[in-house]
Amino acid sequence: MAADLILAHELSHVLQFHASADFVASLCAGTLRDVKVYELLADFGAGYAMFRNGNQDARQNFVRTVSSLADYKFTAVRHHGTVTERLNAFDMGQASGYFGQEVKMEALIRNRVAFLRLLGGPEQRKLEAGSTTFREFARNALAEVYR
Amino acid sequence: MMKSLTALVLTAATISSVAVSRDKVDFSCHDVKSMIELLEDGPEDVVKQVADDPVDYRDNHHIGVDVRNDAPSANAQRNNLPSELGLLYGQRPKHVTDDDFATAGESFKRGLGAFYDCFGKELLTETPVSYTRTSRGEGIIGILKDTYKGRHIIVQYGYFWDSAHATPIVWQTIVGYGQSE
Repeated sequence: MAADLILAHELSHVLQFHASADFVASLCAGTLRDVKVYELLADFGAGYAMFRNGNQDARQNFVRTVSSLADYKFTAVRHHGTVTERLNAFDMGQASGYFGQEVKMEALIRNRVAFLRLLGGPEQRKLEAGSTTFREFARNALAEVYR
Repeated sequence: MMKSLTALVLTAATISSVAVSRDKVDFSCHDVKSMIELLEDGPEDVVKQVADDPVDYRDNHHIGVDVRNDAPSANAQRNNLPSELGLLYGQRPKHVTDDDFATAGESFKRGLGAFYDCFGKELLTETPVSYTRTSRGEGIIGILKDTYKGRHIIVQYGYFWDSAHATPIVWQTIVGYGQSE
């Protein structure tokens, strides 16, 4: 199962190669600086793939896998994201599958700044006040990153 | 006294004044499950055991745990229930650096594994918790299949730092009643 997740994650990188010539160029030149966002976008793709495959046990497996792979080297170029950042990315990908929206990697890369911001989830105060829900937040977040 | 307490959020907490030890930072399945067992007996039992004799509870259940009554949250007022029990551990206030967060993050990675070992298939679902709006930290909140009167038991585990109030990095494990189904 962990192998399925890792494969889905790596296949998402292939989507990135197809979606962005700049990404390929900077990767090949060794000048890629925002490694983290591309890794998190690959987690997004893995979440989508696992949802579409109908694997209900994927989440706990992903958590266990990603817990061993996440890192806290905040200032390192090759920082891949913290545990919760990676889980949130995976969940957003699952939401994309839930709402029937195919992964649009080109749009995700274009809107990667918004993607990182939205990984924080909905504001706790809004949730408690009932002015938003996870479902509403996820739908709006997807609309923003797929724009 | 008892009547008024039932409207309050009860938090069993300890903020240690000494440097935190690794075993307190790590997720303790035994401690959390004992809190869950208490919650499963109902809020009246929580009040009776924790609030009625906090010293006894501290000494006989969770060594070093202190009992504190917080202002009730909107949720607690609506439910008229003590909504949660928690264990909190923290280091004395100091300048918190990225290295401290890196260390905390690595501890969280270990704790998350213990969290899943502890609950596994008892979990209905779970989601990460972000503290980025008002402070820095991370956590996870799980909804257990166990219920009390139609309310699922929830467990939250993680750490945070409130930059506005120069707190230490605080580790918290909270168990409580979720919304009714």
